[in-house]
Amino acid sequence: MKENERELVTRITAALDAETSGMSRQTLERLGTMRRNAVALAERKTSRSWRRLGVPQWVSAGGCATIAVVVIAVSIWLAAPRQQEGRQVEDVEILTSREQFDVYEDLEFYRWLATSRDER
Amino acid sequence: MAINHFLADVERRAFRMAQLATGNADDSLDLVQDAMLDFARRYALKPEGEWPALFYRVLQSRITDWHRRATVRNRFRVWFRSRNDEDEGEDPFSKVADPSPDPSRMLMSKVSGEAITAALRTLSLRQQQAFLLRSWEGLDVAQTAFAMGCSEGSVKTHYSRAVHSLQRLLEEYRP
Repeated sequence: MKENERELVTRITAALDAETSGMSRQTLERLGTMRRNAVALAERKTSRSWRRLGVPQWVSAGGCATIAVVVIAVSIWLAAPRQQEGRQVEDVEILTSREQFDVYEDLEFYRWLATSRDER
Repeated sequence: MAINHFLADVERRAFRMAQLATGNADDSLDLVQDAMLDFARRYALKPEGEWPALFYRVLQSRITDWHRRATVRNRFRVWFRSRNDEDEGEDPFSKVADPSPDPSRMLMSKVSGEAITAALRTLSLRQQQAFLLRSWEGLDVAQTAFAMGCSEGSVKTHYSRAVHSLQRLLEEYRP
């Protein structure tokens, strides 16, 4: 910007600043009322905690409920195979246990022992 | 609250900008009120650094809408007036002198606040917006382009034309 243009701009902005500082009390009061209304509106907006957490505006109560149901369903779905897996492991332990086979092998002996005790 | 400080800082300039664009104090207050409420409703949670451009985007949008409505209203008014003139003949008040000061006479008197206001009011709305947002509000070219809803090139063009027009008007009538 040329020097004379800069000077012109400075002169104009100084005149505008002088005008704004000399506004009537009535105008300033009306502007103050408008500002307070706008600030109250902004405060109401920011007081919503779910908005403070950055949750988008479109997420309504219904949206939150849907999300909660989905989270529960997914957690149940993920938890179920873990229990089955545990049960399968227990079954494998029973089947592979050496002691169990010993019991089955000596089953006839234990039966004879039980009947002989009863006879005594 | 930060938004209170921000609005307190811009409210007078915003009102003056609206007044320069519309020439009507009541309409200007309505425009500033709408802009403040819309800004608070939509952008209060945005980062503070973005507030000036966002606020003036809302305000300039309102001013542009006001101008569109005024243009349509004036067209109808002119059309109806011309129809009435045909029916009723010459308006007796047309020969009465207008008591409001003539802008060119104001400019000739001295380069004062009034002359500057008159010169700013001769600019087109877009030139006025570009000049006030860049020079007075201190927005950069990108922020001004965002506020005006146009390209940065358009801002530069409008601003340059505004400065040359103001220079011509105010230098020419300097005492």
